[in-house]
Amino acid sequence: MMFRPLLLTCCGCLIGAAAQAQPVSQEEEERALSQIYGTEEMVSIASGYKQPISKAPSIATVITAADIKQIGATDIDEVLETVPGLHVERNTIGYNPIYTFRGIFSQFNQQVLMMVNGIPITNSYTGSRSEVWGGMPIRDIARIEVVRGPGSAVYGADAFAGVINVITKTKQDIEGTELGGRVGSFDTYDGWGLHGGEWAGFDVALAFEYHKTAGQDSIVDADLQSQFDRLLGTSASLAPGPLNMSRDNLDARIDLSKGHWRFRGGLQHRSDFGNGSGIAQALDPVNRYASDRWNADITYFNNDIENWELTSQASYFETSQEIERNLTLFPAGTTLPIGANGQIGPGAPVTFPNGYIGNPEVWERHVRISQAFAYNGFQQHHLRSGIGFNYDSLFKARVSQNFGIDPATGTPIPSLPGIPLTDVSGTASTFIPEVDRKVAYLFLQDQWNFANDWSLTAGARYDRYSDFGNTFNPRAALIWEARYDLTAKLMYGSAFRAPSFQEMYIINNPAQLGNAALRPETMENVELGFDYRPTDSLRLGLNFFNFWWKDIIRFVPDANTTTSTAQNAGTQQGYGTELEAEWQAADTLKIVGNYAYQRSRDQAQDRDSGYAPHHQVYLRLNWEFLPDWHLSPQAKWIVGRDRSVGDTRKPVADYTWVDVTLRRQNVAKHVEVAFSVRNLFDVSAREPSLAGNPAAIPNDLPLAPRSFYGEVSIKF
Amino acid sequence: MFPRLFFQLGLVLCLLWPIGGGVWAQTPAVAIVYPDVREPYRSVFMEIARGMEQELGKPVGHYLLSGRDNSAEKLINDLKNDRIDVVVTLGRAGLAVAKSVSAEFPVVIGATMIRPDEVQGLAGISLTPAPEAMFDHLKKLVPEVKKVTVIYDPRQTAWEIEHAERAARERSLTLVAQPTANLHDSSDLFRQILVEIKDNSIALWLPRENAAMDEQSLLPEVLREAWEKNFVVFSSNLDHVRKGALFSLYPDNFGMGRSLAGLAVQQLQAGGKFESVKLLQDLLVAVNLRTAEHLGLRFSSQTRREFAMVFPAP
Repeated sequence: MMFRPLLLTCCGCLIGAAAQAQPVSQEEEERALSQIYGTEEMVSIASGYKQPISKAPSIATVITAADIKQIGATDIDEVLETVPGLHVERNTIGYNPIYTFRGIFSQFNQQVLMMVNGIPITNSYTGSRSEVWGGMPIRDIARIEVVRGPGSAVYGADAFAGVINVITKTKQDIEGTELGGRVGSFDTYDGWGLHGGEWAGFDVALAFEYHKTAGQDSIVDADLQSQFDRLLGTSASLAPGPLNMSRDNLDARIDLSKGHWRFRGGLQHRSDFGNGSGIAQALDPVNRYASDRWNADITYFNNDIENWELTSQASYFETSQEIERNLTLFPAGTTLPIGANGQIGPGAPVTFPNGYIGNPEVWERHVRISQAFAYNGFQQHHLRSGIGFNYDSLFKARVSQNFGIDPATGTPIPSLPGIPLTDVSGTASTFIPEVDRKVAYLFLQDQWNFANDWSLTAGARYDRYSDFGNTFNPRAALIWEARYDLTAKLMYGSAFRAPSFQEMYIINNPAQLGNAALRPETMENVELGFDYRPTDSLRLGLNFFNFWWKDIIRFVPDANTTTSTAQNAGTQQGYGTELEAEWQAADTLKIVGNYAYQRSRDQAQDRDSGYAPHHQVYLRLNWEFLPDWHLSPQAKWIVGRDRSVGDTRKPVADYTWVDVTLRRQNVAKHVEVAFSVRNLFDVSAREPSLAGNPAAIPNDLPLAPRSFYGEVSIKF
Repeated sequence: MFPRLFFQLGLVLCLLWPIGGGVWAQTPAVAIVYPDVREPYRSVFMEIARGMEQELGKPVGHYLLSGRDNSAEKLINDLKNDRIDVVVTLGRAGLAVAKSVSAEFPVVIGATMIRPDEVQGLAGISLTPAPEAMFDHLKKLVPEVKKVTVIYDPRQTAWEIEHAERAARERSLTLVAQPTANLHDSSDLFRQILVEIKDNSIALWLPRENAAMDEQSLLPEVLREAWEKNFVVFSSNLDHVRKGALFSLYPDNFGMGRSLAGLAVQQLQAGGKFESVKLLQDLLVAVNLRTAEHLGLRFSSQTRREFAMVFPAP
């Protein structure tokens, strides 16, 4: 291509030219093009600058790359916090996110299925995203699709409280090259490069994102070690002391496609990962975790055959949880009662000069193959069906520690300084055996348009697990296009949550033991929803839901010992409503907001389930106050978080969280700069720590104080 | 920095081309002249350029109209220096320079809405969708339609309507075209038509220009009425499909690039010179499936595959 930037105005060159020759401003030019397409948004879609709307499935919430910029997010958690009925709480372990949908809370958040490009990134050891999650950067995200409520009839295990599907950018989304960087509070440095182009007849997308931070350093006033200190007269606790939130992340992805074929590969490398407020709720500045998550898939999609759509996919996912520096469950100088088995338990007090150290590491691989069919040959029916097979393997477990029984001697491991940790991997003293799980499944769904404006979607999925057996999950949705501007939906869905390997097989743990006889948790949900568009510029959504969560897996105390064993024990029932609105108030002003209400009760105890907020309100403005200048303030109110069973603390304090982002696009056409302030009013916001009497971290988990981020990117 | 780099690269290529000799006698050196616009508008021009390059089998020269220098002679001199054979202008600003450039080069106008009287003696393809294509799709999607009603602004759309009348006759459709001078009159006309339409044998065509349609108040009323009475509304404006019109046709930028390149080559052929404006035939179809299902329309999967864009049920 030859390219000559001709410095010329139409005005000047037309001196003496024809009468129609008037100067044409950039705005007029763009308006003229918009006229044929309708809006700038439509120009984007029609010019292939963005994925067509047709590709977006009709589901609860779709957050686009443009929305993410308005939110001013630097990590996916900040984006998900804007979804109605979803509140991101924090696990003491690494401050990992707990995506709490509609009051459904658990420490490891196994009730949420998270996928990247439709493929789960679940780690079977914890049943969640790994203890070394470390967040997910947002520059390579094209959109995030969030379904609230169960979806096991489509997605299988863990599509329970909600499903989060992250769609990464393809060549069409990037189209060119983007380079950028960000600096921010807590010594945060980010850099990224994206490229979308063609190579040897392939559409190619490459993404590289780097994130390094010392992490927010809010103070934890007291921890579990503080309690031990009080009981035993020691002073080992590091509280009050800061959280440990350092991160060193690298995310790289490749996407190649040609014709019917697509190949994707990726790496999420995590290192220098500080464990938040401690694995055992005792501050641990020593430990650093690491993790490598590799993924690859090859997908074949063909809709050339009359009435048929075929999708074949094979994927591979490998995930690890590794220790870079000793995982110090309790700090140096801790004194703990140690039983005859060398574990914490009834026995004489033992002092650990280097701390109570255990370094469990796991490596997993997951292989999945699937074949899906869609048939549209019937006038009133759209059929979908599929089969698949998954193989999940925890193929390596390694652990070294300074407690427990030394398998070589049969005596308790000594804890004295200078003595190296004892590697008990692969012995009777290890923490988990190497295990695997095979899953075969089959699903069928029919969308039946039985009358104009009415459709009934009914489907079911059967899963057969090699460890816990079979599960069958139906769903149904009746949809009525009631009016030009109103759609009503009545839905029923069921789901299951597979027990994690930890819950089934963990051994030699001072507090928790696995149970191979566990059954999956189950969920049933009924929901009524309305979508109302009173004017072209205003969209309203309203829904009412009611769910029954049964066979909840909990660690129940064993008789006559200090341990607890995983059991299916517990039922939670919840109901609530969500109202959302999107209003294009003017050409340059868009307002997005939602309100969510929920009540969840622990059936056995007949009291509030705790942790999750009863009310959430979210409001965001995007105001283009000058061409290419965007100001996006947003606020979220978190209100009404009761304590759960056995926790006598006062309810967690409400908070109002405000962020502001200022963005300037098209600086010299190629450059974009943005500046964000998060927690603008520097409120002391906290998420609930785990229940206890007394609670291990009594004053809950502090969120970051006011912080600042500036970024610049160039696209060419 | 980057335009500058391209400029250098372009210059080298320009200098090298004549040395290649012979080849350009068959494949002319084609330039595109287009205004400096932001994304996503810029992608429209880039996609057209890609289509042209595909058709020509070689790169085209890019000449960006940006508002800092005011010398027409410079453009013409640059085109001459670069040994350009034929010039394709894109956008309103491209149209504005077309006349001056046509004194020295064969010119083809594209990527803007053009009336033939605006550009007498020049060749071009208007962005306006050809009514033939519009009616073909209408017949395919809703075979029951016998009559099409349109309210239009004669100052902007008269020649298009003449064209449409011919196209309708050829397809055994009756076109009822009612001119309107202003928004107030057009609102009255629309309301009258809404009363008259009883079933889906009559379809309402919403033309592109703003003068005949109040987007804020009248359009929702028309679409609501169409929903309740089960009649077809189709539009020359893509965004109307998102709002509930059954379908629209919108430019296939790549295909348009190929057609513009073909027309450019034709301008150099002895006796082949085309001196008029064509309506756009390179079009893609967008369909609102919620509206289609409400109307009880059933499409074969072959037809569905032709939908370049669909708007899903909410």
